[in-house]
Amino acid sequence: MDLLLVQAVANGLLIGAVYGLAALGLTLIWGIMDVVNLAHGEFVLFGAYLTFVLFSQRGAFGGINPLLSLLLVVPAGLVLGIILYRLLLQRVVGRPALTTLLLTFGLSILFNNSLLNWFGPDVRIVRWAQGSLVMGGVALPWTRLIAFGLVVLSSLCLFAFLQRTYGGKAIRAVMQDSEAAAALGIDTQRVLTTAFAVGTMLAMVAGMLVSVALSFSPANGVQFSVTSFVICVVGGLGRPLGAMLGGLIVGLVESFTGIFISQAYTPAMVSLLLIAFLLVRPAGLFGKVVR
Amino acid sequence: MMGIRRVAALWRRPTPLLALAVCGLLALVPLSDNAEWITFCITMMNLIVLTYSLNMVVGLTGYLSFGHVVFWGLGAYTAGAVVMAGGGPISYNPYWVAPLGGIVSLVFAGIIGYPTMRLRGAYFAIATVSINIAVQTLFFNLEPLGGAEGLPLNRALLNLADRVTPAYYVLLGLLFLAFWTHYGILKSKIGYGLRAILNDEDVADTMGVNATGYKVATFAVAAFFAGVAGSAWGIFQNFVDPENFRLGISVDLFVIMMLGGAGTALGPLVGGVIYYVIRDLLILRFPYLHLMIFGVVILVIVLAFPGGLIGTLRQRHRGLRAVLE
Amino acid sequence: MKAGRSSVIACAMLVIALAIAEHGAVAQGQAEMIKIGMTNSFSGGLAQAASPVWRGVMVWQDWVNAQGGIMVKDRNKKMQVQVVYYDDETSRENLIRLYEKLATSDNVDFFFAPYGSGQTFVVAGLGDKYKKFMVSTSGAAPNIYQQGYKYIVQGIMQADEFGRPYLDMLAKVDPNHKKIAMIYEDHLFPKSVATLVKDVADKLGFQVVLFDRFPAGAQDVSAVLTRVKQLKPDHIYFMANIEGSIVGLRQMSELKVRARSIGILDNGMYYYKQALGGKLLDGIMGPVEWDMSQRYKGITLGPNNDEFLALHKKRFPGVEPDNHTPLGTNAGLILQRAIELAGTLDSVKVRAQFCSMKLTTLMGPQAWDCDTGLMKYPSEGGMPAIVTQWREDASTVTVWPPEFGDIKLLKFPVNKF
Repeated sequence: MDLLLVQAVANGLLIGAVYGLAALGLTLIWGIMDVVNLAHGEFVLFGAYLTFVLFSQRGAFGGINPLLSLLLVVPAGLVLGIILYRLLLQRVVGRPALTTLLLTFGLSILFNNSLLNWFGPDVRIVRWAQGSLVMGGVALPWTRLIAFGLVVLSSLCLFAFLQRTYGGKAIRAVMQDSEAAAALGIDTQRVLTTAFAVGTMLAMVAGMLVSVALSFSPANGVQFSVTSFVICVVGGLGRPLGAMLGGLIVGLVESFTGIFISQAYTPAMVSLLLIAFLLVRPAGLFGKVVR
Repeated sequence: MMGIRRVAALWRRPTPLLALAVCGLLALVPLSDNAEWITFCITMMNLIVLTYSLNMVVGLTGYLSFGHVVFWGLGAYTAGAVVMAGGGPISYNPYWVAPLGGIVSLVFAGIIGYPTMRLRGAYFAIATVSINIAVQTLFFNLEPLGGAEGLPLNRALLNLADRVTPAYYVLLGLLFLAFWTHYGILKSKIGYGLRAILNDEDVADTMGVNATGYKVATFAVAAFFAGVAGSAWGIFQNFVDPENFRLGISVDLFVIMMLGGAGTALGPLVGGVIYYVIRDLLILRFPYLHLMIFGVVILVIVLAFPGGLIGTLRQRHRGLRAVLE
Repeated sequence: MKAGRSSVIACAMLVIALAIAEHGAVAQGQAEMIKIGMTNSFSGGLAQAASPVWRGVMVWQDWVNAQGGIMVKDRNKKMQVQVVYYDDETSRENLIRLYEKLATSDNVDFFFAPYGSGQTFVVAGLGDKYKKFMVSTSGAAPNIYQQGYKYIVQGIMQADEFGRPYLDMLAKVDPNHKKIAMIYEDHLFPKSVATLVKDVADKLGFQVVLFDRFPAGAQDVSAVLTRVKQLKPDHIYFMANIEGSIVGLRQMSELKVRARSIGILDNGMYYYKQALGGKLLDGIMGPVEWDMSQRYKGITLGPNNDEFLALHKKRFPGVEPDNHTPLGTNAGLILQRAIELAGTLDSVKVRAQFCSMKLTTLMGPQAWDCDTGLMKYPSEGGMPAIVTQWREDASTVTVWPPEFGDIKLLKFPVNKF
């Protein structure tokens, strides 16, 4: 029984970390510009497919180690974010929530079906670092351990960015009070662009982890979005630490429900978790209470 | 509520006449006995009624009911449960069964309305989504009502006359009623109250508008329409299953509402017709690409016509304001 | 936003122009053809599973038209076949609407059902409604045919027949190890197989130590697999859609879930090979409707495996057929034979042929129950399900049943992972 408990905790933490990283991008964007990005799941898929393509190609540019492919995934995410923001999202920031929701929904349909038409509906896996580390009867898949490590690394980098660099501090300033920040001479548009770019990049990095540690197909886009939303609410909008913790919590809830009750009830339990937070503490673990 | 005299006066305005004209046309379709048109119109009317339901919540209170389809699904399953319970042809008659579905949804909305409408903006949206998912999961596991495989209702009744035509007229009547309810609310004291809440809830509260009461009441009334539509649909399809809670349907409704113009009285009608016609055209002509084109269409609408068709027309042609509301 | 407005108008004109253009292309005033209507899920949740079957139907269309068409005696000529199809987007509303359109404005003569038991169930009644005969390509759930419909016939083996060969084989090959864990995905097809097959397991004397399910489309099944691991079963029967099985096998290997044998549904599909690779798959077995390695003797109608493969390559270069593709071809073949025997395109007479018709195609011998249209069990001449097993080089061999497979090829016990 003890072993079961340890495995449950291990499973939950390992997958929760990946969830957390995926939600990180969303919470940043949502927190700073009040835009709920319904295409978030598709950004994750982009990262996954990019890694997959680089990994499975034959020839000179092929067979690239997923860790190395980060060198391409990260800038790709930043560039995509900048382009999307400047081209489309800039126009709807500040407009009613309905407008931005529909815009990102349209993007989500467009992206998802483009992926579907290009790659087909097949489920893909990046077959790298197979096998597990077995410690005392508990199996820890290598891919998930590596993913966990990467998540920790990314979180530290993000933390450093937000706390130590001008760009990061500017983001935090705008998140707190955009008018005051503008009054202090901060170029709000530039900050929003950066935030969106970073958020998109984080989603794509999470996608790379998903491609290695889980599996993916265009049909999974919605699932990534929904889980990320739940985590954002649990953790609090615009709170990276909250997103990480929220991810771990959701991972553990899923794991424990699945092992000790039945996996059939996992979606219900996660929904209940969400509803509970919304009713009791809608601001999430770390969010400010907003009326 | 609204005086009878006021109602009578409204009849002569162009907007209701327009709506009446469209409904009149729709009423003639079943007489043609063309199954394809009938199915086309039933599906379209169902979407329009649902959009009116959503429009009442989003357009009038500003709350984003993203999980709105849950009310439709509950209506469908009510029909399923009634038919299962048996009791002869009456259990299968849409005119009797459909309102039951409406009542179930209304009560449900009343119950969840109070706690969830304390939340604002995106939080409310997410709450409705998770309620939707939770209810869907419940029905997935509810074996007596079919579980994941769904519940076939009455296989003997394949005849158009027995099943489809009554469902058609229920939906048509519902559409007209929904339009009137929305239009009536817009024009009445309740409408003023809701607009006040929309603008600034706290101020409205201070001024004596019972914000919570208005919001929940509107939510419940909207849910009633969705529930009736769901029951009618369940009988028409002769089948209910958890797909009746599919989140994608809610999203379609939002698109239609945006297309027509959120909050307007003609919006859902106009938006629904255009959306369904275009969607159908796309599916038939482009088996492979239609969804991508659809995505592009949405983007263009959001960027170029944010007020929807009616909203934009009202903005650009002040003269049309009286006609298109 | 002047730019925005004109772009909308441009968009609208483009859509209208395309709509008109397409209309010209679709309207074919061809010489009399036999029109068969169907939908395929080119998009939506069932896209991966459905399209191969549709491709199989197209292959049949090519094959039969290359022979000049189907001989219709009461018209004294061979008539070519045209399959009219639309995308149903895996949506119920679309299914109904599109099949009604096929029946009315497209005026097809016959139907093929859409993919899968769930979707077939939705449109099964429409055959009766429009009095047009429908052949189901992949509706394995028996309840579809127990509704009293008179215009539909099953083109695949029944769901319980599909699931049981793995258990039959285990009972024969490993009689002293009876602990089995049965996991299934909470989705129409795997669920119907699982519920039917549990009874079979009980009757064969298995001890079902776990009968549990996981949500449809779940990407992470570690939780339920951890429970399985703890119970240390002799055999694991993991019943899911293809995506679920891919996820399940992968995570079984990660969590080191071990058993003497592991069975999955729809074994042998190339998607497994593509996602997981031969080494992981080595030894995994399970039931499937057809496999390239399965060559039935005495084919009375239609192409054999190699001819089928060649036709598929010609029509769809660059796409591999999967284990379900022949289902589409088979549906066409049985319809063709029924029309030939009936001598007419009248749906009632065509349906009547299935009371006595027997034939063997590349999918094996087939016979039907006259009353319901259900495919008979193999013992009565109906379509058999076979059990295949993976090899390390990602090829498959058919090991069961003894009439059609070679038990000597079975590698047992597998003892993975």
